[in-house]
Amino acid sequence: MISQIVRKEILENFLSLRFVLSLLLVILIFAVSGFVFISKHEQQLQDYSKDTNRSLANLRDQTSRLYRLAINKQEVYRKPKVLALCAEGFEKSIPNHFRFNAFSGDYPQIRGRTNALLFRFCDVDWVFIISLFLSFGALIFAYNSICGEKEAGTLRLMLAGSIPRHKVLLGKYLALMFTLGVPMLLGILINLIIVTSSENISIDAGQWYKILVIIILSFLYLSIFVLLGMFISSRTSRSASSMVILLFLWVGLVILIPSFGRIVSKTFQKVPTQAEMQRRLSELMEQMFQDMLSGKYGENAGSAAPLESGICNPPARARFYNAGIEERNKIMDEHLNQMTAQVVIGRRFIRISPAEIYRQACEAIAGTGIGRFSELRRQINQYQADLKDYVRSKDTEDPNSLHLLYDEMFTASLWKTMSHKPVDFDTVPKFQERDLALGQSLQWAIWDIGLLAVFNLVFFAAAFVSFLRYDVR
Amino acid sequence: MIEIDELTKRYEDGVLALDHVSYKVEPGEIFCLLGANGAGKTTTINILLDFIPPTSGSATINGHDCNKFPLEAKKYVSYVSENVQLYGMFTARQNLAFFAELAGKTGLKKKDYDGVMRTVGLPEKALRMRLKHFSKGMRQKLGIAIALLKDPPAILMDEPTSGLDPTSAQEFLAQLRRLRERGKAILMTTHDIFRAKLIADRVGIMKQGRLVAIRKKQDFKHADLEEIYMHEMQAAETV
Repeated sequence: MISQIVRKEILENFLSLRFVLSLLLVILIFAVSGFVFISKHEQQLQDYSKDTNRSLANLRDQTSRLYRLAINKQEVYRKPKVLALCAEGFEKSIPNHFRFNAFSGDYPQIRGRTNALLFRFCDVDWVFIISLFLSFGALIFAYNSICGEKEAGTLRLMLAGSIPRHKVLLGKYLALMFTLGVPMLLGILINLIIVTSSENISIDAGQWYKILVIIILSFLYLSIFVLLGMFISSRTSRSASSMVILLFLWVGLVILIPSFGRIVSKTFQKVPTQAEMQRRLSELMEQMFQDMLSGKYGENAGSAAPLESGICNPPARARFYNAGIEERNKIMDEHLNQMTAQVVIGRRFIRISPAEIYRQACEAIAGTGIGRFSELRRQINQYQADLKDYVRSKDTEDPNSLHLLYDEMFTASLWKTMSHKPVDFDTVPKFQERDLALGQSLQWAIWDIGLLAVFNLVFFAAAFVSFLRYDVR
Repeated sequence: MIEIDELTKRYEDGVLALDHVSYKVEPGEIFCLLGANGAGKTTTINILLDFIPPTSGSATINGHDCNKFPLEAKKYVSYVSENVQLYGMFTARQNLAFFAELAGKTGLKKKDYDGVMRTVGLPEKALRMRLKHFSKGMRQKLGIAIALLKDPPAILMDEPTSGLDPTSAQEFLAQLRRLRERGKAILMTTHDIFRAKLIADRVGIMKQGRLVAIRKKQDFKHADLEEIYMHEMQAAETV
């Protein structure tokens, strides 16, 4: 019996003008999104490749002396993500340029050839299309699924037969999902064909699996709006009332709640400005200088006189510099962590909106969310530690070195605190951002996926109970 | 076939729509329920179709309680409403197929559809027409066709002749006679005393939820049914 209901509903939907218009609109937007992505991503890849090659050439230059490799800062650029196609996430907002050596790093920055003003244009990624257009489409199809049939008088005739109500509901739900699935899958297919037609863009097996997961998440998300539509439709007698209520709910869930994120973030988590952070760093440096003068790190820690002069103390200077770097890194990390935490708080609050849950889940899977920034910093910190270990191991092989690893070029050159010997470029660790495996991405998204499932269950139960009690007269 | 026993329905707002109503409709019988608006005719149909529960008493179809075992009871009944509303974007054949399949009649062939269209007096070419182009009379006939395809032993009709032109109404009555000949138990609610007299084997007269009288064919065959109706209504008022 369910199959008859499903077939009837699908046929009825397919014959409607709203389906034809939705299909055309969604396919058009997906196609445009594909072309826009190609032009943007190809440029990003080109820039990334150029910057990375320059950075590697610079690194190769530094291998002529070990101390230069340790102290000279190398530049690393964030790799453009092909899955930004699905969820652009924080790709435009998180820093893409990192400059660091084995001991410390500069404050991460956003760099690029793109006119920063162009960021005002929104990215029409899959998440945007599905969370906005198709969720609205779901309501357009579902708002009269029950009350519309009551108004037309067909529900009474259908339920006069020996068909259980839950089968009618399930049949309508499956048909609506199929009806929405057709434009969505067609749009995605066209989008992927356009994107993969570019010679410079390739999607590997792991990314295909992630795309599949994002498609499944999209169905889970649309299902919430279908069930919400059916629930409201089974709580009202008139299609017009149902549409008005659903429009109100849609604006609230998809537009209003997500826009509160910024307010919540700023209210519940304060972050010092960069100027405040710089002032704090200056105060720290001044304090450390005073400590150095008072002999906290040992005699003559402030002296950079030649070794033969006898008025210098390289181990004390190393302690002074390393303590300074440690404190500086701590302040910068704290500031970056506060910034991340500020965003996370706002995003947690707006998770009461299915649109935001879906967005965050897709970003986690695509690797374009705020988590990517933390992960990138973690990977860079790890790389710094590896580079330091490498420098230490190479340095111990040189009997002429003082084996004092700290971040000062002048004394490193003057006193040979680190080896001056060249190292083999091929043996030097190089930074390579690693994409998270699907399993790890799913772990990041697990709460959001769970919440999407909970929303589905709640609205399904609501629609089910409501329809069982629905007065068809 | 259709049995109403001490059926009572009081709505939440306190209105007594049915007050201990009892009667039976036997196979091969057309039972017409007459009464003014709010007399309880449609409420009876709604209880038989399990759209609303009774307050007390029972309604059964082919021995199955409509409130306790509604799906079982509804296997044995078809329903024709005052305004047969079907899916306007579908053709007549698509509508017939959908409702027939819902009733478990799968694998119907073209000749089955052609046959039922002929039986209800619709041209075969109408099968390919979209319902939105059907007149009310044609839709009523298609409603009968749906009932015929299901082929149940009982049929419930709620004001089926309302709004039909005289020719269509006559054709409709002829169709009812044929159904009676095929042994169907038909419960029909109507305001139309003239047509009830022509078609009914028995009439039940309802007033404010009470069944005030049941009259057999021989009681009104040579009498004025309208007079009987008015008399019973006045008598009920006196009581």
